[in-house]
Amino acid sequence: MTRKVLLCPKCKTPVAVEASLRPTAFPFCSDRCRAVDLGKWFGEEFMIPAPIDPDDHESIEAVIAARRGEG
Amino acid sequence: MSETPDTPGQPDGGPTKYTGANIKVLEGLEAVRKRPGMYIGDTQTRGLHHLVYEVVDNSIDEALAGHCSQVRVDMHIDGSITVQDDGRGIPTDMHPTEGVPTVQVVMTKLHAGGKFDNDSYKVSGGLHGVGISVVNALSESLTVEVFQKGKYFHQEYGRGFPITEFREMGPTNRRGTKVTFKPDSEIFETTEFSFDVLSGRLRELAFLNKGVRISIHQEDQEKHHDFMYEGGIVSFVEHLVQHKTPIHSDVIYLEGEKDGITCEISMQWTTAYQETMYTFANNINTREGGTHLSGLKAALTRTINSWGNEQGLFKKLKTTLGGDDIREGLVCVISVKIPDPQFEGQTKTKLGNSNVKGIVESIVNEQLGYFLEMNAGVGKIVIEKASEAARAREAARKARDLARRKTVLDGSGLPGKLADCQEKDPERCEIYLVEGDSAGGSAKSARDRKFQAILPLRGKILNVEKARFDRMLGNNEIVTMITALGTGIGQGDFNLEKLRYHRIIIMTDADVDGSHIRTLLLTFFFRQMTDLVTGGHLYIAQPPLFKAKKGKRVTYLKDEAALTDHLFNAEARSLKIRVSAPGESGESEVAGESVMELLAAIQKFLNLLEKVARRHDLRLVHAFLEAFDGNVETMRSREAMQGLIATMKTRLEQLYRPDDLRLTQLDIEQDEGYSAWEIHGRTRQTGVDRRTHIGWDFVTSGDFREVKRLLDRVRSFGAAPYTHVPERGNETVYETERELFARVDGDSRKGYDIQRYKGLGEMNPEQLWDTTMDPTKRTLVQVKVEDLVEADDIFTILMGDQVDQRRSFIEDNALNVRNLDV
Repeated sequence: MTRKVLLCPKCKTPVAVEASLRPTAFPFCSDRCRAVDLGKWFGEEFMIPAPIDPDDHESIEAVIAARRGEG
Repeated sequence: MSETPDTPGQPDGGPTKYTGANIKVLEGLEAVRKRPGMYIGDTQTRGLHHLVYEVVDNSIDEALAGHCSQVRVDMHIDGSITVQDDGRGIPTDMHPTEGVPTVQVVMTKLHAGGKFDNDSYKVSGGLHGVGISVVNALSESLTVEVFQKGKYFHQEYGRGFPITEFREMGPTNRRGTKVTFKPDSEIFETTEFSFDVLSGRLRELAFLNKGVRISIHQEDQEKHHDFMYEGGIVSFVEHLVQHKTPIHSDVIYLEGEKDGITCEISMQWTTAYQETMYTFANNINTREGGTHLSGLKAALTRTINSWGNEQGLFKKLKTTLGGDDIREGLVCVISVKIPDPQFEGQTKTKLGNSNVKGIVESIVNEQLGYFLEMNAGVGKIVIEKASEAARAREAARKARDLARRKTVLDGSGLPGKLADCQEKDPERCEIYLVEGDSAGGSAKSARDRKFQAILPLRGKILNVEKARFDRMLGNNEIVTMITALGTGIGQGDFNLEKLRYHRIIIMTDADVDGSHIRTLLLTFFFRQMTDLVTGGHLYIAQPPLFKAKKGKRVTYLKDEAALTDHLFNAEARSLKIRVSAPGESGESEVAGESVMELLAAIQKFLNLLEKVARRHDLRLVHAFLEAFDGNVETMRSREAMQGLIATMKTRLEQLYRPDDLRLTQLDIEQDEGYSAWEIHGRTRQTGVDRRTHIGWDFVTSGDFREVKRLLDRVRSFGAAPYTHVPERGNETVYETERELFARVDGDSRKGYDIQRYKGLGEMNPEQLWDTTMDPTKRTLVQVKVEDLVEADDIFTILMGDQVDQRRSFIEDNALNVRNLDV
């Protein structure tokens, strides 16, 4: 089932997913939200946290392996 | 000779009998007819409607002075307009100096009327103060009727000339003034009035003059409106925000008076991104703004900034709030009333009085400051909104600057790191975004340089805290990538037609780092180059994860499933497994294709089980899964739970030697939070004490349900124990899926040399070409926007501001990392 709306990654306003209803700034609600997001990329504000606790590190690998196992 | 004109008009009152003084007056009106644009702006729609406003303004003046509460405008079928009020009525006496009835002076003399005498009306509307005489001059017919002190008076005009005498017609119980006029078609290019245009302005006037009832009626279409707003300009703002979403509940209202100038302001912030400002001076819509507007803007900026500073609300914001930021989403009406308004600008709708600016400023500073003190909550919301706007503005600027900044470029204006291809037709070109320099090196040697370009990218690693590294894409990498792709970035700059490669292929290592870089890239493309994804240009390469070699035969396998498939294929062909038949007491045999299916189901189950059990003792979790019926309500029953752990205990004793299991505790405790029972187990596994808690949270988690589902799938083939029946050799009975799988797995690997590729760099260029880059052999997964929609929620949490949320997400839902990948 495909979703009908997603939340604007910036301001959480519902945004239509269906191609014909998408706003021009999709997946954002507006150009302004897209601009703020772009600023964050250039500001190096987006980071993915990676725990380096050995247990978790292994477990994440295991997860990825599991995912691959599922095709 | 006296300068005062002689005796007024003769009883039969024709214009020809007027004296020199009268002629002067008439010459004035002749000038209006010659150059109407000078008086009413133009002779098109705008000027035409202006006639009505001019007459209505007189009534509003009466209302402002407190003598009138109702104004009615009628649009007649013949194109004429009637404006009537319940005011005092134009004075009906003789004019003291002009020697004609005052009404006639008002109707025929430019700049005549009470409004030019500050004592009569403190403030007055009437654009340019041209007065009703202009309306008279530009109307082919005009009738004025006055109801005053029980008497009814009447006079008619034609193109400004009195046609009848101003005379008393009889008694009346009404009061007020009634003017009916028909615009002159010799003057106006159009004489058709618009109900909507008139209604709009009349509504505005009703807002601006609270308590005054203004109605408009159109005869032929029987349309009418009745405007009356006790709230004045507060109601105006409420009207304006009707289709917007306010961010605070009540309209803010400020008012003050200074040096005879009164100022009213009402405003409300909304979620919109535009500002909506209506400015009025003496009821005139000052579309070009002027001193009242500049005073308001300056004071808004200063007051909000200084209040925010005092409250320490700008600590996180790296830039200051500009006026534009503060006014984003603001809906505001300002209305000033001034004794001597000066209008400037092209359309004379710009207020010029310089002293107004300071007065408005001081009223706003003082009263908005006070409002914020009293309503800090509203202030914070407004500042939050403005800060967002400031960030957006700053972000857009920064993005523009950075996107235009050149990275290290080679002679062709392309990034030095890019190994471009020879082909120039974008449709035939592809670019590999490769993670890591060593992998980039391999890819450069492996590629077909005719049409394949390589851009190595490196994730940036930050040691944010002791136990964690954060991965991100440095802005240099992003700029390099944008430059290589050629599209530009950001609103107005991004242009898909300039895309230099029609296939963009993300190729990363099969490890955590690679997965993170891929996640970052996908998110970036999804959010900032959406059209590129929509256009089907984004792909993910599928490098093999394993190399399996038996003798001289080498096989590359893209993932564990493929490897198991490959290995088990030969092994399983000759294998039979005997199981307890599902739902029956007897045994049944699984053979042929079904063996493969059973083994694949077991593999999925075990992989997930290992993940789900995590720090718990997997053996206990497994035993629980076998004993648990899948109904969470069981968790609420003490008896059922006691029965469940008894079953688990029996099973565990059957499977493991006490020395191995070292079970020192297995009982249930009440979990008040869910009014459920929780299983607490304590074991020792490979020298480590394990505490296993199986509670409501765990059992209701998506991961648990999935693992239970996978076990059910396995058990649909039949229940344990499993009897391994090889083609040759002895049968062996295995109690658990784990043991059975380990046996088959071990057997299947015999004679194989299996190599796991963790990084692309571990493959030599030939292998990389063969497996991943050769268009005739490779598999590419095309990324679709629909796929990314689901994933963006997770991106948001992973990369959000809430560090705690992110961490707990990573720790609790590490399983879902799989969702990040397409």
